[in-house]
Amino acid sequence: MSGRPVEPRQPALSTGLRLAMALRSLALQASWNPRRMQHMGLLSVMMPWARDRRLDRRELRRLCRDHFGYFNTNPYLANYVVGGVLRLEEDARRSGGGYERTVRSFKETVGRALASLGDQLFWLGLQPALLMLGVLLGLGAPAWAVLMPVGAFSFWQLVLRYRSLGDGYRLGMDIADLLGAPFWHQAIHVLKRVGAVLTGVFAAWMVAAAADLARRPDGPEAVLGLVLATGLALWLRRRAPGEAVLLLLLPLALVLTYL
Amino acid sequence: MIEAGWESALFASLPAWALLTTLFLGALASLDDTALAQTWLGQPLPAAVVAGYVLGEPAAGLALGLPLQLATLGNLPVGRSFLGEQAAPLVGALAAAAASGFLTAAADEAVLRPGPVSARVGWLLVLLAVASLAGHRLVKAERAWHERQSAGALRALRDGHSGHLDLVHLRCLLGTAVRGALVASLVYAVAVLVWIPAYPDLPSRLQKALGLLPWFSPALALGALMDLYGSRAGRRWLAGAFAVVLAALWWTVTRRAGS
Repeated sequence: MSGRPVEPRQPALSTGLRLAMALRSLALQASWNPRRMQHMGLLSVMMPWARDRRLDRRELRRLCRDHFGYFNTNPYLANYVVGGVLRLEEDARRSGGGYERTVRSFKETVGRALASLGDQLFWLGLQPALLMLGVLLGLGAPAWAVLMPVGAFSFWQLVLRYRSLGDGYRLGMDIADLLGAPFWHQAIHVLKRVGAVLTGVFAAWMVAAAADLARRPDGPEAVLGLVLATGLALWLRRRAPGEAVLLLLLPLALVLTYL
Repeated sequence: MIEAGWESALFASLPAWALLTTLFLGALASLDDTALAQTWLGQPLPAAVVAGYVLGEPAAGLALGLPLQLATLGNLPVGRSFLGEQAAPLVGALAAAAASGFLTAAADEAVLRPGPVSARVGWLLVLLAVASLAGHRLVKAERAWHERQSAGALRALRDGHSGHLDLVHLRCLLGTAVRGALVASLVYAVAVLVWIPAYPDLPSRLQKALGLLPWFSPALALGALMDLYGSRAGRRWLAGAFAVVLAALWWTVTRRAGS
């Protein structure tokens, strides 16, 4: 109709293959190392595809050589990159190669963008909010309730890993459009607000617990200690590991027992 | 305990299945941290609750896991180099507490509030903080070992042997699992043989100070999260939630007092 040549049909990623790769992607960081980070993980995720497509020894060697270099991205979003890389590899196979530089550039650019997005979304947005929700449940609900938010996240991230593989493969280079979608930034915004609200609720719990404790004979020093510990934590601004600060608070607690 | 022989102390009170489960949970917790799945069930609070249920003392799991989670809530894997090892030592310490009945009374005391049980929790928290700080070096050493493994994999891949990559990846996973199991069992042994038996001999003033440590842990979480949500908008949401919840608590208390 339009006169455009009909492109050969894109070989699909079968459900079994996607499942095998999604399962392998759970261990993307198993061999993480400071020099090349997730490089072996990436190759390990791609191996079921290489076997499914029956790459000959020369092709396999080329694939391994091309992807053995540095690779790092957010583990939960990594399958977007993997799917996209496989799509480009398929395209390269059909057109007789010559995509090496494009694949490398795609992997680096998209991987970096997803790493940055994942930092904001998962590590600075979802994780603190979800763990704070768990803490609040631990303070007022049965112990098993603590597992609910983390359990829900575990299930959701498995679905995400499976689906993102297919999406990355379908979109190929167009994945840039997905990364530019406002959804990601809205999600980050909402998660940070939720985290701030839960922190506010937790702070109110602290004040109520301190007010309750102040009526006990040994209460005032405990409340004073809490105020000093909060001041120290605010001053340190996450510069020191929590474990080290906890140990630092022991001498403070000891001094307070003399009051 | 020690007078009765260290072997009997090590294996007393905890059936063989519980010891094996401790090793298994320690391995799983370490794997979940970075190497496999990253479901966040290996975070201190969920890991402690799961271990608590498995060992038959969910209240002890909550009593120990909650303050450790709060203290380490700011240890986010973004823009920092501290790794720490929280969950595997936590599982070992919980197993030791279950074996000796050290935290059995946790079910009768409000979590985090200073009291006789919280002093015991504080004593174990000191052990866990030291173990986590030491574990940081262990994790770094393991990652350096991954790098050496990857050099071997590269040689095999040059020859087109992709199966070797899977083996190297699996070896790295097993290495992490063994580390987690060993750390959990080491902390279990130290806690059963030395740490818990030493507690009654601690000066009463130190015991009192230890009782304040779990109570201080919310301050560490609050300091870390206020830094994280420190933007003007974040502070507004935090302060709004704080004011609303505090007002609701105050209204509830005055209404109850009136009736």
